[in-house]
Amino acid sequence: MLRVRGLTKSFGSTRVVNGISFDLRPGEVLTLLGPSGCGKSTTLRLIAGLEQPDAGEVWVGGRLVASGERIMVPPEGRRIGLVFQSYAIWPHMTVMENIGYPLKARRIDRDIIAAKVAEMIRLVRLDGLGSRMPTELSGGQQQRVALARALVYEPDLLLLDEPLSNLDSALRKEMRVQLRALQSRLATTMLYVTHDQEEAMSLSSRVAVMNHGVIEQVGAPDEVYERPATRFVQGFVGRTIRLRGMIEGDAARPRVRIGTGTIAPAIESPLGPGTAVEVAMRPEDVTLQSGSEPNGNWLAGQIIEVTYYGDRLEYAIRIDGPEEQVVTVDADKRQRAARGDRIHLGVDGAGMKLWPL
Amino acid sequence: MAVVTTVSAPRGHWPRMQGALGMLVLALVALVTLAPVLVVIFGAIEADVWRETFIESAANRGALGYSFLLALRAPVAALIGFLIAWLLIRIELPGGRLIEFAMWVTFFIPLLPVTLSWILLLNPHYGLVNKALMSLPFVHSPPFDIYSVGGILWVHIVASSVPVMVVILGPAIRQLDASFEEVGRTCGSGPVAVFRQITLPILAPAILTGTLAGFIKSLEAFEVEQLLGRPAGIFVYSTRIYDLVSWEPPKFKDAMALSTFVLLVLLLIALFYQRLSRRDYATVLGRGASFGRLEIGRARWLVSAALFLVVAISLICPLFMLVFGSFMKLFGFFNIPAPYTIDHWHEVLVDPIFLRSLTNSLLLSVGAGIGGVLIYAVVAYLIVRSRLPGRGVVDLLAWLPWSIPGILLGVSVLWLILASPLLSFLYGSLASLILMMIVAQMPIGVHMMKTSVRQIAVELEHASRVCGAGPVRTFFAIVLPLIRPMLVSIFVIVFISALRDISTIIFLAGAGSQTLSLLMMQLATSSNLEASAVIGVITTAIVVVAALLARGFGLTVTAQRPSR
Repeated sequence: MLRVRGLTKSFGSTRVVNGISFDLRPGEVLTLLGPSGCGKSTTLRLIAGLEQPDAGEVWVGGRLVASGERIMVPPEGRRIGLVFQSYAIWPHMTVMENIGYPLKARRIDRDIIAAKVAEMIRLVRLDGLGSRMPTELSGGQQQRVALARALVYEPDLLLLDEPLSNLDSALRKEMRVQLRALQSRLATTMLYVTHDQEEAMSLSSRVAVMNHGVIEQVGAPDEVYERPATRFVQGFVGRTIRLRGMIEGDAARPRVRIGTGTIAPAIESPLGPGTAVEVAMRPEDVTLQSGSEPNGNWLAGQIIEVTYYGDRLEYAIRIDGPEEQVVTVDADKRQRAARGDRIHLGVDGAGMKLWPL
Repeated sequence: MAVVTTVSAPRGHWPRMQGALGMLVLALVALVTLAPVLVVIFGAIEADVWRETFIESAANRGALGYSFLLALRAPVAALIGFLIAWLLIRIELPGGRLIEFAMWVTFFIPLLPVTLSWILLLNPHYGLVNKALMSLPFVHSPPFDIYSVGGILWVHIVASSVPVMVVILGPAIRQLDASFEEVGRTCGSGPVAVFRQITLPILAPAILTGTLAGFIKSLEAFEVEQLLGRPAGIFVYSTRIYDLVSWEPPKFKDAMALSTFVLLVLLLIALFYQRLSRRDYATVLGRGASFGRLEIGRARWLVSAALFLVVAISLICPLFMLVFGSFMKLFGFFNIPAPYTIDHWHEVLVDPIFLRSLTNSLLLSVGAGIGGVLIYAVVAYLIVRSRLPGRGVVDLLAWLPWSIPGILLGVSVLWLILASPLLSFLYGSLASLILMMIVAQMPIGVHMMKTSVRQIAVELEHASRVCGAGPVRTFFAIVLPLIRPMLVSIFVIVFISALRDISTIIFLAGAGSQTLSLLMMQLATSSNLEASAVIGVITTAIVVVAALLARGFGLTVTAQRPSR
């Protein structure tokens, strides 16, 4: 439904989007996830036709709509729907007029417009608010008007630019569920832009993590989380515990020395002995072992700070060794240790990644 | 029984002395803003006066008619100005910044010198444009006559109304989130349809308020009508008042009756304006996260060329002609042998009257600037941050002079001075002119100061109070330094207004307090257009320098580049 090839765009001397390519199958939801300034919004705007690419191609519904500086179908000719972060509900039109606008712009019969608008209003649960002015609506309601307006003419592709980030967290969660239900009901193809990884994970069939204008990894949410392709992806998606170390032993069975301890990663690594590496793990792959006899893969350390959070505890642990390395680890409330206590960190060798420093 | 007093003082409690000082300031503001209005209304309270003024005098009715007819330029200028501002902001135009800068300079240029230039170009006898057109085979009579309704409208629209609208409407357009238009495009509308169906209606309130402001300002116009209307027998409200008061003895009653009527109309419009400007779409307009500009391809060269033409007509051509005119032996006569001379410059520059007028003008402008900035700051601070009784009323009253034409202010103060011997020391003194300029510029000054004071975190002041400083010390040590950029901006605005002003001070300036603009006016009406042009060049130069300095200090109306 959407095909992007080598898309490139510079503003002045900064290359904001740097040759990215991806495909979107009908009915699929792809999220562009990345920190602010990574080029994800610009990518969306290039696809929408609000910016002209310097190079690269955009195909929507099998039609070439942008190709470098040669072909540029204007936004109104692209059969897309767009929802902005600011919603951009026109303040001089009622809810119904807002939603009906795309049909009016296409000179569709007035009766059909009325019927379709009524259907959309029901679908996004704005019943009874049709003749309100946007100023009288709450943020969540405005958001749904924007959604209805983008969907009313059944576009080939729905583009959403951080549509939920102006809502408070409770409402955001609710809207996320509604959006998902709506998507699966209408089978809309969606390209979703966000910096919120939780939103990306829960909404999409695939996630594309962007940084500095390039896509670092595309994959299903679990794939991106569990098998991050780059250090950036691992750091950006989910929490990470990082330690510095050095590879020892032979290449077939590498071990990593961290401080005075060593651990054995259960993964293959092309990095040879003597390489300084960063060992990056997910918090859930690290367990606390307060017993005297640790088992498996472990590191020893001393608790230097205990913070109480109500539902859990957090320990700051200094790993034994000449270099000061401190990690913070969540702990069960029942497992109460005090500052100064010695502790062992059990490490799951399969969950870790080694990145050369 | 104990009397319980509740002291709710989230804005800080004020010591008695300092509170009294504040009340005094508020009372003075109320006095100087209300007095002119009351004088005008009470001066016209006799029944006979109304009959004489409106039923028996065709001249008075004619003046009112022309005033309202000429005011119709406001909506036209608002639409043109809006279109130009929109093009400048939303489209990447070659030379766009230069065009915007030129509009901004035009905004400050005094009208009288520009009028002289247009006389050079469009005078029916010697106007250059007329002569050029008459050299064509099929044109037998001068096609243009500057001394006409059309001429007055033309000068106002190109030299003032349109540039003013561009500057006023710019911020509203800039505030409009580009996504409103972008969503329109993705919904299937082309750029023209989006402009017509979305941009224009969303900004309609801003355009309407701009129109109303233009309407009010056009009813106050004086010098252009005096110079161009009088020879053709076209009088408007302000020039008619000038005649009535110049009568010997002055016909104050007629002037007051006429003024009362105009004042009521203006106040009604001002009230409507206030209601309108409060009810805008600010809540949904977003944070103005303007993204990219519109791509219109080659057409941008065409648009740019058209806008450069506007700049040429409204700024470059008049300035050029003005300088020309100042070097002419006989204003407008290009065909006589050796038409150019520096005699007029020499004549003006050695004239003691010129030197005195220059000094007076600078004293007036600097005095009004400094005094105004201080007073506006105090008043704005009292309105925003004190809990003194009556501050709400004063907030409204400070807005009042906005709808009082300069000439009306002048007449009412003149009448006050003539009627009460106690005030006669004010007549002809520079101090009284300064005071009038401060009152005349109070609305914009206080309004801008209020915006600035509101932006200061109130904690900064509370911290000062906790440290032991009273409200007065806090004001001078904390508030004033924090709003310094605004002080400079307002100083320049008042400075330029005072330098340009004619109608407010024309009745009160005595021989010793004549200013440059009054001298220029006097020379122009006594047909010494060459010397008038010389002074016009000098005044314009001072204004442009002041405006450029202000721009350096951040009085900007430029487009911030949309950046990504």
